[in-house]
Amino acid sequence: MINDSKIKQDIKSDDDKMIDKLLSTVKSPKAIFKIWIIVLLIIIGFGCFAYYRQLRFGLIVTSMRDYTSWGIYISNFVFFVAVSLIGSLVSSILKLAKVKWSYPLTRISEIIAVAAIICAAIIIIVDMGRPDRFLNVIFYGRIQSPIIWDVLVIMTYLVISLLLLYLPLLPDIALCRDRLKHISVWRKKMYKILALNWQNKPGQLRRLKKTSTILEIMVIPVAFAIHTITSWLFATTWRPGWDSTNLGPYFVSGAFMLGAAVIIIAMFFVRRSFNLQDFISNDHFDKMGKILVMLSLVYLYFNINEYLGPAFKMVGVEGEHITELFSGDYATMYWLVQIPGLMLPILIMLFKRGRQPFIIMIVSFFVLMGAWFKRFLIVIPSLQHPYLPIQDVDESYLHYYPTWEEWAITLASFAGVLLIISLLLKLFPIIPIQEYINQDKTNKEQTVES
Amino acid sequence: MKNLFLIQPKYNLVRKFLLLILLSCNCMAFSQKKSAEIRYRFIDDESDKRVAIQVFQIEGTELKAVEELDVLLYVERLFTNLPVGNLFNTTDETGLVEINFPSDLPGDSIGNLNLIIRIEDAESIRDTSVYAKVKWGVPILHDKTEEKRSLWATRANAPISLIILVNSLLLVVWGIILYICYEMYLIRKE
Repeated sequence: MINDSKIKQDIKSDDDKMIDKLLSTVKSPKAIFKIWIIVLLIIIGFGCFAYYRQLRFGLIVTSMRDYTSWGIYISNFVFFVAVSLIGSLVSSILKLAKVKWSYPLTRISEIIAVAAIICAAIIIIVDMGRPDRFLNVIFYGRIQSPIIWDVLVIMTYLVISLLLLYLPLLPDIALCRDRLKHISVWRKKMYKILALNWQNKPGQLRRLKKTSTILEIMVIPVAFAIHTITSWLFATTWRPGWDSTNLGPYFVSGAFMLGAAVIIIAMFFVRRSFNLQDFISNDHFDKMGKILVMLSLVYLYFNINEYLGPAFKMVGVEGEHITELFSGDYATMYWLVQIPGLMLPILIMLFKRGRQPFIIMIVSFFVLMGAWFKRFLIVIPSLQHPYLPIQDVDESYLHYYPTWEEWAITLASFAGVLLIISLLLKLFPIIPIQEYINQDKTNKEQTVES
Repeated sequence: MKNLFLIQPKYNLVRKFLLLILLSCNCMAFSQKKSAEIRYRFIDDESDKRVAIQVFQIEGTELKAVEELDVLLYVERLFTNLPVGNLFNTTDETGLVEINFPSDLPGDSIGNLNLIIRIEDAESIRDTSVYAKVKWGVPILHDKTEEKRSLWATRANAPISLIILVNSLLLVVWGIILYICYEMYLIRKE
């Protein structure tokens, strides 16, 4: 009996130590963090200046013309939508499958999902020539148009992602409210408001478990919908390269692959910056590596499907488009995307050494770059082969080289994602504390019983 | 340095403004252009259609036929006016000109066309326009098939099945979101 209570006391003091350690990531930011935020703000400021020029002079400051009417803004939008799917992969699919090792990664993935979907929504408004007319899309939109479905599903996914991040955070915000003493007044107030009077009461825990499970289930079809509908924006437009029934699953599988790569990169830098080696271990990298290999193989399979059929037939404009990708103007980019961006990572990660933290981070970075340029290749070359060519077109219609304004805005959107991620990581505990302790306790109790 | 802060009236602008007023007064006073009266008649033989236009100049209380005057005839279209007749439709010594009218112009649902008879940039006559309506157009009835509910129809004619499907999905998903928000409220109240 005495032994039993002593064990329980030991577990309690262990928990306290664990909580303090996990809350240490939320303490006042260091100088390097402040510098990082300033750098991001400068990039965003530069992007805002470019956007001011776009608003002032119109979309003529971009390279978008009558042929290439969707430029890097739209490829960037598709990229961010893809990244946002990571929230549903880790925090929902792995959680529902009761994959216990993935618990420390859920918060990071949810934060990335929220940041990416916010910036995806912003970049689509940036692409509009008249952003002041955005509400007309809602008020006068045709329900038959996939663009309207996309707008609806993006708004829905944004709200679900925010809830999926916020609800499991409640017990951890309550810990911040109760345990963090030497923090600024506004942060104290923020934790107090956001904690929703959380007291770990049985009723609160029951409601939290119920709502979290509902969200975890609901986010899966919505996540599939968001990227499938994004693919339908292309598939329902009659252009070479887009006229495919394969596009929905092709986009979804690519998004999951990209999401897994993004989380590996995030894991590497978060673990290093916040000293979380005890919680994000080498084993996590190994397992995420295996997931990435599996997702990359699925994506490779869809890639073969996507290009083999048209390449075998080489019919008309479709054939011209394939030739342009395989051996024409876009061949270098295409093969860089396919080989170092997809095939080599699969080969490297098949070996255990290839799944070591640093190596897999570099490999994931290649996957990420490949994924960004892949979106470029999906959007731009197709637009340069219209089925109804215009006679005597201006030379500028035939090529698309983004202007500095487009690059500045695109870089600013990346900086925006990183800024949101950095701020959220600094404001809230990175590892889900309550979940981690419950998991730890169950493990210890099982050990004692055995 | 002190001069920089002096507020000086811009005489140049005032001078230009006065000159403008003077010039416009002169234009009014010395203008030789007189107002005109335009009379028209629609002639519909079985073989062809014509618009007979006669132009008179008002001199005191008398009307004097205007000869050698170019008259323009337009039909109102959706975005612009369609010129009808020859390049120059010049009046004879009685001030009359007859302009042949095409019989295949699309009109409204009962075949009405809105015409504009216009005198522009004439030497002695002020610019004048007269509006008329004639039932010489081909009646255009809306194709009922276009009003059918379809994916390519207008917003108001979206397929019912699509409207039901999209709204049901939105209702279910947003209903669950609202339920979760309500649960959050209960968590706070607990």
